[in-house]
Amino acid sequence: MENLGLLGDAIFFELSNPLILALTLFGVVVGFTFGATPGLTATMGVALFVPLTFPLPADYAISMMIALYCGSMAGGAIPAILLNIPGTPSAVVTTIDGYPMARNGLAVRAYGWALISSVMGGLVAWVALVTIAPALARLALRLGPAEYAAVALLGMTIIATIIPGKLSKGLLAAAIGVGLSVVGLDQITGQGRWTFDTLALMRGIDIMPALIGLLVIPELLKSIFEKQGHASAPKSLKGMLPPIREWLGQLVNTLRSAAIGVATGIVPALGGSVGSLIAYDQARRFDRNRKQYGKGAPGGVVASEAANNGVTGGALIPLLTLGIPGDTVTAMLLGGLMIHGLQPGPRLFETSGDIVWNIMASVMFANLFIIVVGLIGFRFFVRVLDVPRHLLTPALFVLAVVGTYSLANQWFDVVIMLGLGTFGFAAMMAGIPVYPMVIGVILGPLLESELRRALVISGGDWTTFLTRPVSATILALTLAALVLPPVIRAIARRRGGLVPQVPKEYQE
Amino acid sequence: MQRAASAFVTLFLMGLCILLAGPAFEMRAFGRSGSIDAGALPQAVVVVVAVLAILAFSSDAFDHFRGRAEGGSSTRGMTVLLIGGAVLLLLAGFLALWSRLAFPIAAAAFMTSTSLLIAPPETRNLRGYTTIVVVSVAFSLGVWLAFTYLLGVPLR
Repeated sequence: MENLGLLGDAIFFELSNPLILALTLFGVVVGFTFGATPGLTATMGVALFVPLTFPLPADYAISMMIALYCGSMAGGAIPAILLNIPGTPSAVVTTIDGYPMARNGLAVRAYGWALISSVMGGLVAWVALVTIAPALARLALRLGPAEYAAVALLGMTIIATIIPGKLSKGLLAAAIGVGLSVVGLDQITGQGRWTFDTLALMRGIDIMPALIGLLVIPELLKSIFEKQGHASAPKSLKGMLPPIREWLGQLVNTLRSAAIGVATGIVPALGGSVGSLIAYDQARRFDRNRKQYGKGAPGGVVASEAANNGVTGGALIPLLTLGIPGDTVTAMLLGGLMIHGLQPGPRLFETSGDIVWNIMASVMFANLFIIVVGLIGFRFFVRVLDVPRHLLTPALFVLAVVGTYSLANQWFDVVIMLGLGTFGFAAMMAGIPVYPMVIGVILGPLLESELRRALVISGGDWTTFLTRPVSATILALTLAALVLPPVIRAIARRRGGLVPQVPKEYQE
Repeated sequence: MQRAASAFVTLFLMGLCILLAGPAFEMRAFGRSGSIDAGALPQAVVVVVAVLAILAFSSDAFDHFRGRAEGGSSTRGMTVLLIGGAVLLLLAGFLALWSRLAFPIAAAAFMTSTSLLIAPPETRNLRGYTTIVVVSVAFSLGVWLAFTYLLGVPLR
């Protein structure tokens, strides 16, 4: 009940504050633009727009970035339907039925389905966020250092082991990330670690330059080789929104897919594509017209879009409550939160409760704005596809450099960003995933500080991690995350069953 | 291509581990009460990265010899490497230029050269080149004005 009151206050605050609503709307428009352009991702969008938020209060800034995230998920459906090219990796499943619908002359209707299910998926995720996140944060407050260290280890392990057949590479990437987080002065003793007596390295490697280097630079380099789309906007937008009766027929599919999206969003690294894939599979299984799937079934578009927008709210839950980002965009959001002086984790609700509730309220407004922006801006977003890639990509590189420099007006940050970008590119070429590195950078300090605190409290007794029930359970889950995926895949292969395909986004 | 990249990354990481092992092992790893000290994590990272880098490369090499290497044309891989590498060099050049010249000039030079590098064949004509130069200059000036005067971030 108390939470309901806080949420009501936050919604009222936003309604009485045109600037925050305008920024949320702006975020949705920018997100749609990034989502509708193949090769540009929500991660890039958030990274490049962080500098624009410097003069803003934290809740305004984060609301805009989250709106960008939600908008990009919805915008990804446009090229998926019109060109058979997913605008975002999570829209890949939308192409399966969206593009055949477009080829059957139903492009506008397919987009209408995508839009409605995106909004519904986003709203279901919002309900999950406002109900689960505060409860989880309260629960997380009871955890001690041993449990936190175990949670950090679990987060890293899940992400490192998510790529099939690449366990060593995933773990290697996570270890490199932890190594990057070590550089600088030791938090407890003040001793320099890998600083080589240089002042710049004593500051350590800041999160944002590392994130921009590892996530944005390799993605931008990859985008150079993406296909340039050319689509013409449909002459008439008549019949875009499906009739109520048809929509009610898809209601169960929408809610189920959104719930799947939320659940996959909560698990770090699973992301939108896995959520969409599972939701699509379930929709096909339960639909009487299952033979139509793959040939232009609206249910396929609904499942994919409701799920990938459901992921947005799901991914915010571990970010706001535990400080563990659910995907690359929330990793970037974590950097954004820290720049604005907020430390994501269970204490966030205690220390900055009003800001967190405002952020959660803006998730609802962002999802409501999606329908307005999607309806009015459709023709504009189709034209975005025509922006020449050779003009756009260099401009985004300039923004990445300037954005990094503007974080602290430090040349060293730009050098670090470029160095890590080069390494990220080489790692991508070598098939080493970059995302576990990012998670290593983020969770490394948490793992180390909590490990040390736990050992100090226990008097150096390492069995403390196994004798405390919650910590032992989390460590057992960590072990399961390490051992089970290869075992399950081996069993599936032996039985000749389908091995779930891992999204391309994690197979850099 | 992936195997070559994997070999390069492994060699780089091994070199880095050798470089960082000295300072890491000079630090104390364990405190008197059995707690861990400043050196514990750096030492663990050096050892784990070295072992996993060798393991990852061995796994790639094993896949290659078993014929399970990931598909994909090596010509495309080479194109990605060459163009990606060239863009990274241009980025480094941009930074070097920016440290000596005003931001709009350095950024416009970077944008023009990168656009020329990656422009598709159908835009390689007078009109295309003019568009590239005009967009580069206008965008660089716009970013400089926006950051310097709107966001209060002085870009020299």
